[in-house]
Amino acid sequence: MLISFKSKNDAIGVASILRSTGKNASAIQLPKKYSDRGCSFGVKIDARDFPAVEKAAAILKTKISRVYEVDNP
Amino acid sequence: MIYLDNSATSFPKPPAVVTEYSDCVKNYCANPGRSAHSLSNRAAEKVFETRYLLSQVFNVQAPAQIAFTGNCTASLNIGLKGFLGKGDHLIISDMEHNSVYRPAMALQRSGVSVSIAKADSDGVLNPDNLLPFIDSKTKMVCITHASNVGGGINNLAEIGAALHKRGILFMVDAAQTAGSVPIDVDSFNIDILAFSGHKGLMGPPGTGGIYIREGLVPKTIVEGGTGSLSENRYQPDFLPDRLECGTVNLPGIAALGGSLKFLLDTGIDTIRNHEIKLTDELLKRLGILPGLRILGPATNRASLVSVTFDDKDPSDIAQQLNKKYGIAVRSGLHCAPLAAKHFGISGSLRISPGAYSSMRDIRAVANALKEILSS
Repeated sequence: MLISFKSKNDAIGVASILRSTGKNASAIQLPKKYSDRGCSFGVKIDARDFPAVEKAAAILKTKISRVYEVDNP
Repeated sequence: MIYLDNSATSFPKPPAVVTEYSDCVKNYCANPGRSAHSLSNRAAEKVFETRYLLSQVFNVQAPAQIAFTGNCTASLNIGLKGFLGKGDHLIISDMEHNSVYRPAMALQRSGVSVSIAKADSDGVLNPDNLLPFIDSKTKMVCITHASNVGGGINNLAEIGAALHKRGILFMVDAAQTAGSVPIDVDSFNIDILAFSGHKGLMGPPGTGGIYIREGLVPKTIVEGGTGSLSENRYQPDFLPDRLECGTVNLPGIAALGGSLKFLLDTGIDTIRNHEIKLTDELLKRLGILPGLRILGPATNRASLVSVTFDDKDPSDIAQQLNKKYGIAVRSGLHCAPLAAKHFGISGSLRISPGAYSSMRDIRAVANALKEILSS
């Protein structure tokens, strides 16, 4: 699953928080077809970890931009 | 060498500063937030980590509202020039460093009116001296948390509350206090906080930052590549990208992260209490020396004590302390000509203990001054 954020800073932060809690998450540059304006960085996660993404976004006081239900972008 | 010049920059640095800097340069010194390869991501995560640690130090709710800069002066310029324009009114105090005074004077030339509120005789700004300057055009008050000459700590909570009620931006220069005196941007109603990374935060020189309250968007004074919204001709309107263009000082930021962990593990309150003990002892020992005047308040001061002498030049004494006793202090105007005028002096000798200073250091400088003054 791909989650996009407003800025790379948010994507990096969310991925970092997730990994610090043992989740398998990584910040990636989104392929163009998933990239809308302002959302060129996202986080790749296992779909089961979506609640953890929401939690991390709340910690950073940021919002998820879009969610893409794809495994291998 | 006994180092008592921590107001200029802290020294020594916590060991983590060296290990983090070295680890970064050796192992992952890629460009953070540009590419998405693993080294770049590792670099970006380190930047994020330091930003997050800073948010804990200042009680910032959204870490992205903190942007890295090269130093506190750059941050102050961003805050002042980013929010003020022709027709606006700015209030500063006469305890300000040139890092506030000079940009304020530059703004005055471009049509911003500037008022300078006078601090009390001990160098602490009484809100009653500040608030009467407010008029319908007042957009911002920018003051130091603690004077780098007198050392007196201003009551940010009281001033912040008064300004918040009136809808006036409150910008604080925390160069002398960030990391060594607790700062809470929420409870002090601080809209913009400028801080140095290499003083009380104990990171390396070349690091600093600015916090800007969510919803406030400064005009940019530098534009360029951010690795985001690259198709747009204008600078992104969100932080930190709006203010962080060009490659950031990654090793410096990584090392700052190391010192922040040290600070948070040790506790800023613990460091503050240690420095209060050192400063009190210094005030006690210097207070009994004849021919010496102590500037600033008796209590509630940052970890620095500035003194002048009846018939001796502070610069000569600083030289003697360095050469004969191996003690590092600073003399001169300390880049604060308004404060010098306020205290009626042409320069002073500043002794500034830090987190790694000891009572032995304080005794050594007091005994050396006693010897010099009696010779």
